[in-house]
This record gives sequence, C-alpha cells and structure tokens, in this order.
Amino acid sequence: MLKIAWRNVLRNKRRSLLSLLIISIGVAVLFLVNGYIRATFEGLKYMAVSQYGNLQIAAGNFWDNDNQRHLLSKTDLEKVERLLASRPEVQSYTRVLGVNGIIGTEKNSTVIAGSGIEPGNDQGQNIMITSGINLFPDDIDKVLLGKGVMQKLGVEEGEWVSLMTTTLDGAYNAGSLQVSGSFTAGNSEADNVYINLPVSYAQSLLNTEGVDKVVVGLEEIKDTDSTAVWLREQFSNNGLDLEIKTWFDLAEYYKQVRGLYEIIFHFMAVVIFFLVLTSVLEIMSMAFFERMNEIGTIRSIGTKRHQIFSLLTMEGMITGITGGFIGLLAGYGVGRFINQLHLTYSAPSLSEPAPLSFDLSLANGMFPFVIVVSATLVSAFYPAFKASRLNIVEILRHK
Amino acid sequence: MVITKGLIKNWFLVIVVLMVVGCLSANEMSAMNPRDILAEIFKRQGLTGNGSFELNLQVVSFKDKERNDSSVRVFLDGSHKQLVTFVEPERLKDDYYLVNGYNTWMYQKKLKRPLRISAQQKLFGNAGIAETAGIDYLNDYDILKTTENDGEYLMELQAKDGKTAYQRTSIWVSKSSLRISKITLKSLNGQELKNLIYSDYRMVDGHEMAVIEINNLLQNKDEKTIIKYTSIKSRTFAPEIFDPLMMGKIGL
Repeated sequence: MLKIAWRNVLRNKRRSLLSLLIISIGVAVLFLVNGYIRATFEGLKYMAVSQYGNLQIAAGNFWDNDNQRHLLSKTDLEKVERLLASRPEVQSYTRVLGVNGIIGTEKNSTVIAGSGIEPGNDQGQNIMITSGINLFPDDIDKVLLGKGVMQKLGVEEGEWVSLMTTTLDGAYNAGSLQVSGSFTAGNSEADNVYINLPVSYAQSLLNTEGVDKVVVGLEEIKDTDSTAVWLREQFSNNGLDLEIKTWFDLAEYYKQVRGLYEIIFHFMAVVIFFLVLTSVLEIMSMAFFERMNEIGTIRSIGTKRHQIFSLLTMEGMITGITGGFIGLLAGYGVGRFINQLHLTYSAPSLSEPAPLSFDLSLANGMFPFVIVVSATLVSAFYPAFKASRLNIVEILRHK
Repeated sequence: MVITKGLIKNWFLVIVVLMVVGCLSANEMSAMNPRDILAEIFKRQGLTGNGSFELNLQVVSFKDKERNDSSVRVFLDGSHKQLVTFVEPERLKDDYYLVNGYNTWMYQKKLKRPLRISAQQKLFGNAGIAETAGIDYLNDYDILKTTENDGEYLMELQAKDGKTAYQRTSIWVSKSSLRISKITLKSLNGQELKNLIYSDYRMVDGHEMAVIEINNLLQNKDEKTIIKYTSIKSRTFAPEIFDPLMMGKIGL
C-alpha cells in the first residue's frame, strides 16, 4: 500500500508540490523561530549566570526587601568559604558589598550604586571594559566607573574622585578613589549608575566587616541545583541562618523574556498548524474529489473502506513527512547562512548589539516537524474518511 | 510628591540652619579645660539647658552666581528636637522638617502623611537633611585632643555614637574672646566635609550669636550658605509639635 500511496502522490505533481511547499515553509519557519528562541535563551542564561553567578549566599532575610540591611557576618562568611572550598563543583566565589552614594569632583557629582568586589575575581561581574583597565587584586583605592558615570563626571583614567556615602549607622563617610577605567554592563541605564570598587574599601566606607553576599561560580551550570541543595543541608547542619538563591531565582529578566518568547512561539505554532491544516485540507479535498472514479473503481473490485481510508491517509502522511524533511533542510540551510553572516541587532535594554543567531540542533526542529506533519495528517483524515464512506454506485455515477 | 530641585534645596537650607543652632559663642574665661570651654560656649549662647526656643533666621544660599534668600523659623526643644518651618519665600511656607533624635521627617501641607527620611536618603538630599540639627558638641562628642596655636584653641572631637552624622569635628576657639571662629565637620575617616565660619558676633535678644558661613569642602563646592539670627524667643511648646503625625496640623 505504501508503494501505491507513493505513486499516487507522485501522480499529481502540481498538487503534491503545492502541498509540499506549504508544509516545508511551515516547518522551516517554525524551525528558524524555535532555533532563534533557543539561541536567545542560551545567551540570556549565560548572561544571567555571568551577572548573578550560579548561586548567591546571603544572610537570612537579605532578599526580604524590608528596608533593612542584613549582612553576612565575618564569622558566617568564614564558615561559608570553608564549605565552598570543600566542594569540587565550585569553581570560584567572591564577596560582594553594595555601596550607594554620591561620587564626583569639585565640578560634577552624580548618584551611584556601587559594588564592593574582590578585584581579579570575575564572578558575578557581567561587564566589559570600555576604557582603561579592570581592578587588580592589589588595588586598594581604585574604582571602575560605569561608562555613563565617567561621561557625566568628565574624568579620565588616573584622575581622583570623591565618594560620599553613609555608614550602616547613618554617619557620613567619604573617601578618594583613583579611576582605573570604565565598563559597560550591557545596559545603558546601569552604565549611568554602577561603579565597582575593592570590597575592603567598601567595608571601610560602611564601617563594617560584613558583606551583602557571596557569589558562587560552578564548573557546570547543570550543577547549580544540586549544589544549592547540598549547601542548604550544610547550613542547616551547622546552624547557619543563611539563604541561597540560584541564578534562575534571581534572573527576572530571563524568566520574563523566556515566558514572552514561549507564548509567541506557541501562538505561532498554533497559527501555522491551522494554516497548514486548512491549506492542505483544501488541496487534498480537491485531489480526492477529482479521484472519485478511481476510488469507486477500486472499491468495486473489492477494496474495503478502511483500506481506502488507510491509502488516502498514507498519501497525506507521505506528503507531510516529505514536506517536513524538506522544511527542516530548508530551515537549516537558511539558518546556517544567516549564522555565517554574523548579523547583529539592537535588543531592548542592551547597550551593545546582540548577535542574531539560530540554534540549529535537530531537537529544535522536532517540535515544528511534529506540529506540521500532524496538521497534514489531520487535514488528510477528513477527505479520506469522506471518500471511504461514499457509496460505490454513487461514486461510479459521478463523472 | 515629586522630589524637585526646590525641595532638595530646602533640605540643604534646613541642614544648614539646624547645623548652626547648636553652636555657641563664649565668654571671656581664664584658663579652663576644653570640656569646660565648650560648656561655657553653650552657656553663653543660652540655648542649652531646659529651655525651648523659637529662633528666626535669615538664610542666604549661593550656587555659582545664583542667590536665594529665605526666612526660616526653628522651634527648638533641648538639643535633639527641632521643627523647621519657612516664613519666606511664599513657595516654601508649606514645608516642614522635623528632627527628633536621629530621626528626620519632612512634610508638605498637600501630603496626607509625613515622609521619614532614612540615613541613606539624607545623603541624596544634596548634603542630607537636618542630621546636623542638634549638633551637641558637649554631650554627643568626646574631645580627643586640644592644641593651641596663633591665639586659638583647636579641639578635635569624636562622636560618641556611631549614628551621629558627622563623626569627627574640629573646632577653633579664639583664646582672647573664647568665641568659635570656625568648625570643620568631617566624615568617619576624617574627610573634611563642611566648614562653618563664624563672624560678626552680636547680641540677639540677649543671646550672643554669630553670622555663620557654610562652605562645602568635598562636593558641590560652588555652594555657600550664610545664616544670620534675627530673633530668639523663649517659648513653651506642646509635645505634639514634635510629633511627625502632627506636622503642619498645629498652628505655630
């Protein structure tokens, strides 16, 4: 029956080609969209991990947003660092302390949100140096300015700026820092406000030995959840009232974009499903209508209704699967071509252009393939069913 | 409520005003220890002790070539409660600032509730607000060191409480007249933040007061404020006046 079905498909080339075109375009488009979305998700995931680290450890209530400052004490910090050092999955970790204040010179000043970080440790720093150099481990009173901050102040590398803040108790404190360079965080709003300075300097400004959190980097992203579980156990066993958040917990932007793109993709899949369904239904209905005599003839020589149904359905399936494969190949070809061009585009909230790329792995093609082939199959069911139910005499009378 | 430039300027005025409320002139004295000198300075100003007062001040602030004049009224109860209101200009008459201990509130008549200003927010209010109020150099600070040179005493003070806004200060006192000539307010690590220059001492309703010029030393160096006392009256206030929920609701 498969052979006969093939022959029938090949018999009416124009109709078959039209069906194949619709099906392959549907698959190709969905494949490319899915590939783009998955590539974007991967990019955003790595961006989120670069920004937040794989995990963050902080004092209990740190993320409660209760207008209080909850720091990791020096004692707790030492215990945490001992635990992290014992875990092989941990690649690196760094202490972070936030500082808010005003930075400036006698000519200009601006409000900033600073991070006291461990120079030389890139964990949790998703930045790109735009001028000068990054902070080094030996730097004590150097500062790296967001490029917007640097522009506002009108300063250059090597110049000194004053940073004014309040201690945790509310007393004023201030200090001088030498500009090491500037960076971009990939977001123009952030670049206008962020600075990085050595965590020891931040601690002296805030008059504390504590830190806000420890940002942990792992060898593999996939170890994030298991490491978090292990750490929670250890904290509980050691009586530490600490909280852990993974990059996924913290990456609101990633989750929002992912949610949005998933909705868009599924909407597109539904639209394409119905487009293919109705188009192929129309084509197949016309084709089966024109083959009434043929169907009547083979019925009259003993072919059963279910065999008619199977034959016609199989024709639909062959068309669908063939069109699906062509669509996958076409989608792959177009996607690969575009990837080679290394195109970029301006994405929302990013200050640097984002690469336009497609993840062309087979897994990303499966869902489009299944959707469109299913649409083709469903579109073949109705005319096949109708054709198989027709009375032989009426069919043969139809000329 | 929109935090306007004018509002930020008000805060600055308020800080400045409240800063000088705690500063005093001094009588001629024979050789005294530094704490006694400070005690005498406060006593000569006559605003310490158990009294409460209404002070009227003229405040002139300068930024670049721009000049702003205002008349400010301060209701003072001891050294840690102050309510600041504006008499002139018209646009500021509905603004109130209250300091009680280490807490600060601001209020405008169109608001349903006053606004508490946190320690961090003080910083962004263009040099903060009223943390300088009630700078009680005698009771809130320890005198670390006193030196003498060029006819002046130079006292180095350290705040007793970590919550005090200006953790360190330097006070210059004339040896001959035992009047304050200058105060420098500093941060925790000793960074100089503001200079208060005292000059033109005169009697105001029986209190010896100076004209005070305030200069920023770290940021906004182009800004300057001059404060002159015009009257000081002894008054009794109901405690509700210093209740944040009553700001703007009690006729003063």
